[in-house]
Amino acid sequence: MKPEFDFDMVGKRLPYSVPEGFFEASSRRALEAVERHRRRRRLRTVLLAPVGIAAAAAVALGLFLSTPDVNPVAGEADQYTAIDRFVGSLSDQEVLELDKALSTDYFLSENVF
Amino acid sequence: MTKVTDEHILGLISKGGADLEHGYRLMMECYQQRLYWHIRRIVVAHEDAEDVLQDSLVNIYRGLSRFRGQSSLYTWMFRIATNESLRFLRDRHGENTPFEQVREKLIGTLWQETGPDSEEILVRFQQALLHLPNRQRVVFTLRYYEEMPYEEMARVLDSTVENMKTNYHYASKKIKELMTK
Repeated sequence: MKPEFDFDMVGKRLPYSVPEGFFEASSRRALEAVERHRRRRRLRTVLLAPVGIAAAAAVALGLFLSTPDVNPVAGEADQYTAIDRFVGSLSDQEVLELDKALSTDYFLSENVF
Repeated sequence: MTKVTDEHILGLISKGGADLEHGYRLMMECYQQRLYWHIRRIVVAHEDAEDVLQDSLVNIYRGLSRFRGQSSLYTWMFRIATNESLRFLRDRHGENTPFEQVREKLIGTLWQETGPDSEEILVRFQQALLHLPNRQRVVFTLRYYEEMPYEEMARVLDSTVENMKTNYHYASKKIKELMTK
């Protein structure tokens, strides 16, 4: 009868290897992916800001005019979705260029005062 | 040199901005390799583990600002990596593909990933693990390789401690049988 298998014969060893330098390269790639994610989020925020402002203005105007039939936020959700789709469709290079352009634009930059 | 602790990493992350970035880099230094090997044990191929690791690391970053410390940082990250790995297997092999078919594909991948110089008993051991259903395999690897407490495993897999213990017991038994043949 064969002796029962003993887990100590294997321990935690694995039969796999990784290419040299893999983990350093992996960290770099992850940081680059994170930066791309932040750029897209920044771009989305900049593009969505006018939509939010317009919606808020429309709500205020609607309240002022007290016209119950008016739906000031109609289509706002569609605009958010459209912008999400637009940002999602951009290549990383396009996002980078647009992000640079927006951050130096006098009227759209966060630094405008 | 001061050992980097989870508290130190979480402290940096909670400050946001440049400190969050620093915390994220430290977190990668501390945990990336463990996450990679955990993923690799599930998906088998290096290229696949590489992709799943990248997805996991980005999802971890995205979730950092929302992490409230209900579990340890380590448990939370392993939960993300485990979910990404299991989702990868579902997407790669199809949700309705019979388990035996998926198993044979993964065993084929195992033999491709391990050369003739690989120690035979180690390859046979990984092959035995592939005979376990995916979730049971994850339970076994978390306990056996990571020595994760059952309470933490239950949080990773959204289950109960009893379920984890039962699964680990049956997994160990099955592996012993396969390795003894």
